[in-house]
Amino acid sequence: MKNNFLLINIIFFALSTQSWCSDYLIVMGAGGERKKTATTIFDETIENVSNYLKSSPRLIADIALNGGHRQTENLINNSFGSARSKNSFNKEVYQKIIKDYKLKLERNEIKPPDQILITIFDHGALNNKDINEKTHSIATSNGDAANLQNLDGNVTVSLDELESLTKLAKTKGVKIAIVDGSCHSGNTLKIADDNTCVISAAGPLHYGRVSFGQNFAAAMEKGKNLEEVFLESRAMEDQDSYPMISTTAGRSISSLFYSALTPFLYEYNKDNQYLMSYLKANYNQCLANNGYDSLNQTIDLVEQLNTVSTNILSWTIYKDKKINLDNFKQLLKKYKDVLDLTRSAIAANNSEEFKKKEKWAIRNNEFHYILNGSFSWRELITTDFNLLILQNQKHAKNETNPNKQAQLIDLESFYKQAQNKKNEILKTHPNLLNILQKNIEIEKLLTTTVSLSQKIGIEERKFYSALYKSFNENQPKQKNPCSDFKL
Amino acid sequence: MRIFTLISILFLISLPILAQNWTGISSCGTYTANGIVRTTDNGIILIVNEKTMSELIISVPIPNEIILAPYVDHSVKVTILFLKKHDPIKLEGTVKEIELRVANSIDPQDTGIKLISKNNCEI
Repeated sequence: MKNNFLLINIIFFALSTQSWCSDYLIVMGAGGERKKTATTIFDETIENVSNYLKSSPRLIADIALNGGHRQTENLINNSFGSARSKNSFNKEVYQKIIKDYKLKLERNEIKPPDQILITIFDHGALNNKDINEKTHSIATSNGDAANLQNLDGNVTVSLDELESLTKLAKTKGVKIAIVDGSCHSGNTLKIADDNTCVISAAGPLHYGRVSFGQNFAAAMEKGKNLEEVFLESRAMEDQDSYPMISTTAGRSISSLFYSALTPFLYEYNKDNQYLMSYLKANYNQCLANNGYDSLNQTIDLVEQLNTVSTNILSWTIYKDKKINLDNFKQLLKKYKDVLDLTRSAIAANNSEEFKKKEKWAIRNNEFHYILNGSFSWRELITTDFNLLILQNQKHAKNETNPNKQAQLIDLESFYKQAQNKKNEILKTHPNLLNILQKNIEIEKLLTTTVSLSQKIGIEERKFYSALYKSFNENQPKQKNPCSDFKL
Repeated sequence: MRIFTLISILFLISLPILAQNWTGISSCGTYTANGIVRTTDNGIILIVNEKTMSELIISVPIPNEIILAPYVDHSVKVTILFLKKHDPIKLEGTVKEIELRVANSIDPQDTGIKLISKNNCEI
């Protein structure tokens, strides 16, 4: 009797450990935020991830978030009660997490059918070619990321370091996925393979939006797979950021039109803006026309497919609606017109004449100083010297110090000379004023790209969803690490 | 002993008062500042954190106004040298470099002033 009982216990224990599998969740990021504030822009995302963790009691979670923002830290401490570890996000913690997981894989403490999900909700930099970076870098809690293109001012970590972990997981047959919810996160798709699913909040050349992370984390539910969560959250968001997934369908669609679509998802009037650098440095009228034409050809082709295969391209969220691509094409046309007009204005504005310099000086021997002036023609033309003369006269009237009075009198003479030089230039080059006035109009026109790129972003998402659905329905089934990764 | 305690207390009380004389500019030296150039009846000035509780008005020596002149009513990034202590919100420095910048109107922390390198104050 005693022996039987022992045997049953042994069998039960053996069976239960065999069927037991562990899901691991690593939550990283919320770095690079300015230290003066109590909160970060990632707080809502953090809350949504913690809700997912609460609804998945068997999940083993390691948290490496933020550091230095009072309310955010309180949120992390209060929300991730069941987490195995909780740390600020810095370089040491990042490298320790990777090392620990690799060790667990090597020792077979993590083994199939276990799976590892890495989520990153953070500021992300462009890919850094100078250091042969494969993916891109993200911000830690050390320093403010003042420049959102390269995260200058912050101690960053490169996601290249994750590749050794994903490769080891593949060798060991352990499913692994990376959800990179940062700017320029499309670069992380480069470490995806047939065992590693990678999802990004943005294209490699675009800023991401926190709304992607918020929606993605809110859509995470036990039983769903990562591909479903991606498609759901991608369609919910209405931004010009181009989220990506490493599935065959995702890669095929991106290779079809991401490159041509890239400038149409840029907007004007932002810090570190891409639109102006694209227009000033990379815009070639012929290439731009080709890109625009190929984009339209792709859309036309999809429209034809839609006509011959009814219901294939219905938009996934609104299953009853057929996708209408006319609006998409009209918006692209409007945007292209703005680009062309701007480009021609920039070319005119870059006239060498604006760069010419005028130098002159006024020396005062009594009080021993020199007023030195060096103005470009652009500065001379755009400055209202008559206004400055008037203000200077008022200043001189109130001034009692004889030295300063003398300086103000000389400053007035200086402004008068500047005004004379301006008049001479405009007399001999009247076209320069017209160009500058045209530029003001162009700048107004450029600001329309803010709403245009967002509208294009919305239409692009409908188009993407429809194409994705069509692709999955019509292509032979292949190994898909994103749909195989079930939450 | 009592006198010593009293002196210590007085010294501790005076510390914040002394600190208030130097709000925003922690020491003499070279700073970078993001602000806007304005013209007034007292000359051309640079305003950091304009229309906020932490507004800083920076005036420049008269000959230095020439550098600011082409940037009136424009957002700029300047490198500026402070060699004297001043009133906490009205400062005078010398602009060394200036460039136009695109202001980020949706970010209230877009403007500010940052110490680059310390110098001894002029006495």
